[in-house]
Amino acid sequence: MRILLFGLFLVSPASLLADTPATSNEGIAWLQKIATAAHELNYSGTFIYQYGSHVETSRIVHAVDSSGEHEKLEILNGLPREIVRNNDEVQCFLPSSKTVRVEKRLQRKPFPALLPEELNDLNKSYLIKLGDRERIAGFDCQTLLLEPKDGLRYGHRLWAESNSGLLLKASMLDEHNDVVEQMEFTQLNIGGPIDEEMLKPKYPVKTAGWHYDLSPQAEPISTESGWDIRSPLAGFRKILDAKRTISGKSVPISHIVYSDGLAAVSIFIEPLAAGDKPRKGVSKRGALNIYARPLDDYQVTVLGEVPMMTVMELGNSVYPTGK
Amino acid sequence: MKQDLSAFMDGELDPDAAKAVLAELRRNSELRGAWMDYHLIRDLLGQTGMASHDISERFKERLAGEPVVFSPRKRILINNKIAALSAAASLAAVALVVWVVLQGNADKTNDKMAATPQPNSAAMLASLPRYPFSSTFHEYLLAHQEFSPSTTMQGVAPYIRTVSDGGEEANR
Repeated sequence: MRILLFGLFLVSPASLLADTPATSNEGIAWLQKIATAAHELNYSGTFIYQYGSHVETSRIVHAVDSSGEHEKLEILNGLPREIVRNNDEVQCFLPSSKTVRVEKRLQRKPFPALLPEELNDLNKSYLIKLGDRERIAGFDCQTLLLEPKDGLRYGHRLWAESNSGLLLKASMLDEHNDVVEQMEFTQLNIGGPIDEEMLKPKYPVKTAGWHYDLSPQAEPISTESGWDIRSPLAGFRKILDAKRTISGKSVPISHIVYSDGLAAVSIFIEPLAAGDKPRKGVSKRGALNIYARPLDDYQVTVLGEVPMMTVMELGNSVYPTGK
Repeated sequence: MKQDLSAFMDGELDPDAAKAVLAELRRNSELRGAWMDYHLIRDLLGQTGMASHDISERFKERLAGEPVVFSPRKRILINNKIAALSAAASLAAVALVVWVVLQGNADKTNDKMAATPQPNSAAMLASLPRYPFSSTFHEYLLAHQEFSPSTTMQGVAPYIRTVSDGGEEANR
C-alpha cells in the first residue's frame, strides 16, 4: 500500500483536484467584488452587531464624491457614540466622556482592493467555498464560506449582495462552528444620492469641555518597532512594524501587525511609566481577544479578531531586538 | 516523513512515531497537503468507497454528527458487516487525527503538540485574571482597526468594535 501510494503520488493528484482551485478563484473574485463595493458605492442603512447576548443597532451612511470617501457610523442604543471617516482620517466621538479620538491611517495601500499578497495569504489559511443564495434585508445574496485550515483563526461566513457585491452580513465562527460575532444589515438602500447632513458628526467638538485627542502624525516615527517575535505563527504575515503615535497615548508606541488576509493581530509595546500598574491578563468581546503582559519595563498588549490562544502565543513570543 | 505518514495511515507506526507524525502534521502544511492527497488516492483506489475531493470538510461534518469512536468492538456487529464497520472505524480514527490537526492551538489537550513550546498558553490561560473589556484598550483598538481586513471589506462598520459595549467608554 505504501509503495503504491508513493508511486501514485509522484504522478501527482493535481489533475484530480482540478475543481478545487476553480471554486477558490470564484470565491476570491467575490471577495474582490465585496472590497470594491464597500468603498465605491453610496449606501445607507441600519445594521446590528451581535456577540453573545449583546446586541447593538447602528446606522451607517457611506458616500463617495469627487473628494473621496465619507462615512458615518452612529450607535443607536446605549450610550450615544459616533464614528466619522473622511478618507484617511477616522474620528471617534464619545459624548459621555466628551472625548474625540482622531486616527490617521498609517497604511498607504489603496483602499478598495484586496492586494495579491493578501489573497495569497487567504488561500494559505482558508478553504474558500461558495454557498447558497440567501436573502438578507430584502436583498438576494451570495454566501461565501471561509473555513480556517487550523485553530489559529476563526472561520468566516459572508453574505454579499448578488448584484453590487456589498457585504450585507458577516459572521465569525469558532472551532465548533458557533457564531462568535455577527454584523448584519436589517435595512439598506444601495445607490442614489446621500444628503451631506447625514455624514456630519452630531457633536460640537470645538466647544469647551470637549477633549480632542489627536493622533498628531500620519507617518510612523520609525519603521522599526524594536521588537519581534521568536516563533512565527503559521499563515500570518507581518504587515506593519513601526513606532508610532496613538490617539490618547502620550508616548510613542511600538506597533506590529500580523495578518492572514482576513484577520489581523496587533502587538502594542508601551513603556511603563513610574507608577503604572502593569497588566497581566486577558479580555474578550465577540471575536476580539486581548492578552496583556508586562515584559521588563514595558507593557505588551496583543489584540485581534482571532482566538485567545493566537493572541497569547504571539504575546508570549515577543522580545526586544535591541535596535 | 512522508513515508512515516503513509505508514501511520496504515496503522503501522508505534505510538511514539505516531505522535511525531501528528506533531509534524500540526506544523507542516505541505505534509497536511500530502495527508489529504494520500486519502484522495486511497479513496480513488476504492479502499474506503469514497471519492472525496475535500476530506477535511467531510470529516468535520461527520464529526459534528457523532462522537468519535476509537474502536468498533463495543458496537453491535450485525451479521457479516464487519468490513463496513472496520471502514467506519478507520474513518473515525482518521477523523480524530484531522480534528486534532484542524483544532490546532484551540484545544488545550493538543497544546503539547505545539510546534513552539512557549510558555504553555492554554495552561496559563486558566490562571490569568480576566479584565473587563474596558476603555483601557480603546486607544489600541482604534489604532488596530485600520489594519483589520474587515475594514477593507466592510468600510467603517467594523469600527463598532472599538466603541461597542456602552457603559465602558465613560471610564477612561
